[in-house]
Amino acid sequence: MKRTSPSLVLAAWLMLFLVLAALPATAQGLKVDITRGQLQPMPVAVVEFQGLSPDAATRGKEIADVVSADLERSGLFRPLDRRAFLDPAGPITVWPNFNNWRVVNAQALVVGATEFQADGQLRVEFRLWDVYAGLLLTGFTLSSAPANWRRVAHLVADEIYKRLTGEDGYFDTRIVYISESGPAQRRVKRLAIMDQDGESHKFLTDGGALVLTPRFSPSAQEITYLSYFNNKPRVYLFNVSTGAQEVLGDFPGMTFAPRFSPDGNKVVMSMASEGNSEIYTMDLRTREVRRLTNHPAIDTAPCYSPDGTRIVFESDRGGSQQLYLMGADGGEAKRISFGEGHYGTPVWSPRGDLIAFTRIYQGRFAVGVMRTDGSGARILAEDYLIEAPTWSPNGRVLMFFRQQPSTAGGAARSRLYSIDLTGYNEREIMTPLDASDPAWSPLGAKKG
Amino acid sequence: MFTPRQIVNGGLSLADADNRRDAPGLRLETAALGPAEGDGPDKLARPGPGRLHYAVGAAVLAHIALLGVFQFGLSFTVHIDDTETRVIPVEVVNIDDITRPQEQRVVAEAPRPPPPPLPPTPPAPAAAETPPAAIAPPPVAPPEPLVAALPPPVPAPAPVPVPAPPVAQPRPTPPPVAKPAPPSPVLARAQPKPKPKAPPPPRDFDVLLRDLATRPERPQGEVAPAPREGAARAEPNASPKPTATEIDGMVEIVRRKIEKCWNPPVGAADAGQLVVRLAVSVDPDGTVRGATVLSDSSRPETPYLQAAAESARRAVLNRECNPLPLPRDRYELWKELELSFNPKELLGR
Repeated sequence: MKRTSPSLVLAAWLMLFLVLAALPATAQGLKVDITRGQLQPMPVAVVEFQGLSPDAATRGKEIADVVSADLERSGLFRPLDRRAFLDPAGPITVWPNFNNWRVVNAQALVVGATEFQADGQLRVEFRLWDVYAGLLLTGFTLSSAPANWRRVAHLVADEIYKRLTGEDGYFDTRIVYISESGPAQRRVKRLAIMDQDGESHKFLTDGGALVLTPRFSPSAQEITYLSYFNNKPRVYLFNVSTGAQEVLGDFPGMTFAPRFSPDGNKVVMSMASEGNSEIYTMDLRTREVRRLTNHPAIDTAPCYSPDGTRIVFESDRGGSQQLYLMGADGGEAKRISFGEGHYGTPVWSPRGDLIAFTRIYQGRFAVGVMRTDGSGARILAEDYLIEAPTWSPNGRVLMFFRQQPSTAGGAARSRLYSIDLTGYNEREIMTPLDASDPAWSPLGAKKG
Repeated sequence: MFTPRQIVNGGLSLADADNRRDAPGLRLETAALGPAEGDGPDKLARPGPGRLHYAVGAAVLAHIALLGVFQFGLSFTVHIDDTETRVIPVEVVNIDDITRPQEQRVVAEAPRPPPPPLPPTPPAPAAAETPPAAIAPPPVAPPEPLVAALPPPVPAPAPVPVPAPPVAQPRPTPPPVAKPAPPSPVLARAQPKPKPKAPPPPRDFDVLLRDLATRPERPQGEVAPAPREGAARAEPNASPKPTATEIDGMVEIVRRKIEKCWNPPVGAADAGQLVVRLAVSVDPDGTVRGATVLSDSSRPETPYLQAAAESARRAVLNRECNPLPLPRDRYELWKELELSFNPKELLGR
């Protein structure tokens, strides 16, 4: 008995101990809520990638330039002027002198090295450092054919973007769009493809037939689009790597507004006959066609949710053109847009959280986003004519085209632009000719 | 030290390097808590088995120990914070992107430069408690602190415990507290509890009681040695109790300053969920010494959250937002801050 009591006492004290010891962890110090910040691009130092040979050094600088440009265009980063660097070309193998980078206010530091190997491959290595914390954040080494150096640079930028934002990057992607030229009455429209930054531009069709609304398949190896061949509008499939082209089904009516399902096995599109248009899917493996809507109103512009379970589309069944949701197999549709004006061309974000749309209100066009239940609609860009939003694969940036009013006699100028979800970072994508109907490829698209 | 060569060829992998850093940090944390609590009782239990007066003695000793804890408490936190400061940065994300390029042959997972855990780490150990004195040493001596960090994790708290009240006070006071106080930190670590127990305990405890009772009447900590010790836990600062307005003022100062440097993760998916809490330790001159993410075990560690946490950390470490212009005589109130970064209101949707 007596033996136990002291231990009991001790146990009690021990308990008290624990409680008291735990207290300070929560009860100490001022508590401050930070709810506002500065939407400023993060200052990043991208040092020229070092190369032992002159060729490698030149390529190293070019790679660093592409990385810088990618980061800068995202609007989230501000690559610093290299002339201000105290360590303009610090070797990749040594621990950076962070003080030198803090002095120039860099918050992140990118260093790299390039080398042409004996087997002819280009080897690129890079590292990303957190300057304030003095930590290595990420890095990798890639080898590839020297001709692919731009892709390598985009992959480096993607890795940096991902590590610093938590989201996948979108720099190693491509854009397919409609290149336009010629007078308004005889407009030549060609399918064209380029890197996300406007580089590596290439025409895919010769302009003999009118083409519209190109869309990437999830594998990024195929593009589906609308083409008027022999004046008959039909949905086509184009294989980027082989250049093969095929008509998607021989429908009795005009088919348009095609889009792939997320698994790439189906195409959902509209078919118009006798003045009414309905939504259909075609299974690309079995060629089976299914009708999803059946309504006297016009139903068109269908787009799958990223999980493939739902379809958003536009319809005027309620009296004006609005956005509706239905199951992937059709069924009852629920209206989700209720704002003023007409809503069209809905595009589901690859991230799944938002739906981009075009709004026409009082004669002006706007591109915006709303949650998938239609709430929280925000307009990101507004103009005389802007249309056809397409998402970057990480769901953070939209691309669209903007057309200026045509001047007397001339064709309207039309160009591609990107804008991020915050609505602050709008950029023009440089194209050789006029451009419309952009479509952003998924991530990791292989070169054709 | 690492030579460039090691980094390239033999180089540790990212994970390796980080684990290295991580491990001591974690150990430090658990060790600090473990022995401090376990040690005391253990030794107390031995002498007291079987006899009532032993029990009484044990109880007295326990009181003493409790006293120690009052002071430990503070030092624990401080110490842990430091430790964690080192731990966070350790987080690493795998580079799965390597697999992305399909036509490009991935050669290897880059030889990561074995992040020499030296420079950044050191500050923690030394900085432990005594704020003023500590400031300088941390950055200076990297190697030593490192060594200290591994084995003596426990000790760290010790020095402060008994005598030296966590309250930052210079030398003048030592005499009263007397005892081991002045000893070098190293020594202090060596003899954490044993000594303190015996002599001062009873008095300290009395003091504590008295102090508690009288506090309202004469909040002034004065220089009196005794009061300090007791007050330590409950009322860290020696100056008059801060008014609500005063506290609000300080909160506002911190908020204004840090907001200028916070680049919130606005475009991220579910940005509204990305609330990050940071425990920040501040030097007496207002410069942020370290920041620890207070993790919420209920939330999975996603890349988004990691990026959000790092954006918060960058904000407090940003040179442009340091030092914080806080009243120096209230250092006890702001040497530890808890910042909560919430991007919700920034979404605009």
